[in-house]
Amino acid sequence: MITQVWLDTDVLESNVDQMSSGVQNSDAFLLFLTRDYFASSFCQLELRQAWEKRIPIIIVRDQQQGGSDASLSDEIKRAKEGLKEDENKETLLEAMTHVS
Amino acid sequence: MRFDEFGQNSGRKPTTLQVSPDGVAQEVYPVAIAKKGFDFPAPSWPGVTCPADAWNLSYGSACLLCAPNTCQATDHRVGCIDGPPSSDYYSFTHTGCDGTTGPAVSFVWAFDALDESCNWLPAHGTLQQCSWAHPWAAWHVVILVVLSSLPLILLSFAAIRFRERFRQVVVATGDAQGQYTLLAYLIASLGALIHSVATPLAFIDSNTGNATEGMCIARTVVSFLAPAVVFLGITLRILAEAKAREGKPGRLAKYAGVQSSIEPTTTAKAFAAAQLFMFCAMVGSSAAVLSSVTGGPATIATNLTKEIGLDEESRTVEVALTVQMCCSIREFSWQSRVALLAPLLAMFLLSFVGHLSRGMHPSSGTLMLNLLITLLVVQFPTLDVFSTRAPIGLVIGWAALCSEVVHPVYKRWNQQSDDREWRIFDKGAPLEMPNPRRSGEQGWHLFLSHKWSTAQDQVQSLCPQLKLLVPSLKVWRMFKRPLALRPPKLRLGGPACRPQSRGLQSGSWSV
Repeated sequence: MITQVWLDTDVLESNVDQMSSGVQNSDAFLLFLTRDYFASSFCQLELRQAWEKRIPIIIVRDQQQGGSDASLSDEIKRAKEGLKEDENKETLLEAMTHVS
Repeated sequence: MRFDEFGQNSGRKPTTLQVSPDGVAQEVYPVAIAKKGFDFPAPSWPGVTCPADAWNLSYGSACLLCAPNTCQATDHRVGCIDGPPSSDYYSFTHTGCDGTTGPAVSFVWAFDALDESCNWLPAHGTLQQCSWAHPWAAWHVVILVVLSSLPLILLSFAAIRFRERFRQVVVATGDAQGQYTLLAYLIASLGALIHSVATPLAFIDSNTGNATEGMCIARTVVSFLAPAVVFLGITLRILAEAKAREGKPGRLAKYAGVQSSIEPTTTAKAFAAAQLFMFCAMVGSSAAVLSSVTGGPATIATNLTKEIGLDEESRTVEVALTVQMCCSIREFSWQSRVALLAPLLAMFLLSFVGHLSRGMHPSSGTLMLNLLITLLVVQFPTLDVFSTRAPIGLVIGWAALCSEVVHPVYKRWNQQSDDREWRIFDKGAPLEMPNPRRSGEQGWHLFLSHKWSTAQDQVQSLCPQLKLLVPSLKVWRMFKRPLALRPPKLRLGGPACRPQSRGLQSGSWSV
C-alpha cells in the first residue's frame, strides 16, 4: 500500500540555497503568475534573485487562477506594503513594479 | 728534329727560344731563323715581375719556378708557394652535393707536388653549401610534414557538409545560405595551406644555387600572400558573424542582460570594413615597395665569391662560384627591412589591437603570432632561410587552421552558439536546445517559479508539455514525491519533469 505523504513547506527552508542555485544557473526565469504569487516569501525570493542576476523573465499568467487585472494590482500593492524592511526590499519592489 | 741510331739529333738544328724583357719568347737559334741574339747568361727580367731565379713562359701570368731556398720546381711540377697560388695552378668544378642539390666546389690542383715536404700539396678541397643538409629536409619528409594539415581541413569541411545540425545552425542565423561562413572557412584554410605547404616548398630550393627568377618571384609572393590570405579569412569570419546577427530577434532587446553582451551588428561590420581596408592597403603598399626596390627578394644574385681552405695553416683561395640564389632580405639594411615589412606589421598590429578591444578570440592568438614572426624577421633576417621559414610556416599555418576553421566548426558541432539559442524558434529548425549558457555542472534553461497552492496543477501540466515540445529542455522546478517511494525529501532540479511524468502514468501521484 502506497501512502502518499507530502512534505511540509518547512522542509524547504533547508533547501533555499539549492533553490537559489537553481535560479542563478538558469538561462531564463519563467514566472507562472497565479493568485497569491507575490504573497509567497519563496516566490519573492526567487523573483528578487532572478532580477538581481538579470536573468530574462518570462511571465505566464493563468487567467482563471490569476484573477482580474484589478485584483492582480491589489495583490501586488498588498505584497509591496507587506514587504519587510531590509536591504532586499528596494530590489524586490523594483522587480515587482517591472512585472506589474 | 731527326735522331740517329745513337739518339743524337742529326741533320736538323734544334730551335731555341729566349724570353725577352718584354715577356715575349723569341727564336735565338738556329741563326737562320733567329729573331734576336742570344743573351747569356740568361737573366731574370724585372719587367716580368718574377722573383730572382724564377721563370716566366710568356703565357699566363704565373712564375713557374720558386724562389731559391724554397722547394724546387720544374715545368708542370708545383712546389711550395708563399701565399695563395694563382689560378694557373688549380681548377675547380661546380657540382651538387651528394644526393641533393646545392653549390659545391671541387678544388683540384693542376699539377702534382714535387716535394713531399710540402705536405699541404696536393690538397684537393671541396666547398659545400647544401641547404638540404638538414635531415628532415629530405623530400619525403617535407611532403609528409607539409601535407599533414590536409586531413584536418578535410575533416572540418566533412563536418560542415555532413552534420545536419550544423547546416541548420547556419541556416538559422541571418547568414541564410551560410555562404559567408563557408567562404570564411575556405579562405582561412587556403591561407593555412599556403603557410604550411607552399612556404616550405617555396623556400626549399632557394639556397641551392640553382634558383631561377620564377622561383624567387614565387618565394616572395608566397611570403606575402600567406599572411594576407589568413588575414582575409579572419576578416570574412568577422563579416559572417555580423551577417549572422542581422535581424536578431527584437525579443532580446527587453532582456538587458542578454542585449549588453552582444556587439551591435554595425560595429562588427565597421570592424570588418576596417580590416578589409587594411588588407587592401597592405597588398598595394607591399607591391609598390617590392617593385621599386632594386635587388629585392624577387631577384637573383649570382657569382658569389667564396673562400676555400687548403691546409691547416689557413691558406685560402678565393674562387668564383657560379651560384644563382634569390636575393634575400638578409642583405637588406635594417631600414630597408622595416620599409619592406612595414605594411604587414601595421596590418597585424592594428587588427590585433582591434580584436583585443572586442574581447578575446582565438584569432587574436593567430594575429599576435604573425606579428611576432614578422618582427623577428625584421630584427633577425637570418631567419629568412629554408630551415627556419619552413617550421615557422607550419606553426602559423596550423595556428590559423585551428583558430579560424577547427575551433568554430567544433563550436558549432557542440551547439554552443548563442546565436542558435535564440533564433532557432524563428526559422523552424528542430526544437533542440544547446547546453545552458549559465551552466556550471548544474545548469538549466528555465527556472519555473510558481506558488504551490495556486499553480501546482498547471505547472505539472506545463512541464511535460514543454518537454514534449523541446525534448532537450532542462527545467528547474521544485516538486514533491510520495513518501512510499523514497524517504521523504525534496527532489530538486534537473529531472523534475521526468519522474513526475512517470508518476502520472503509473497513477501513483496525487495531484
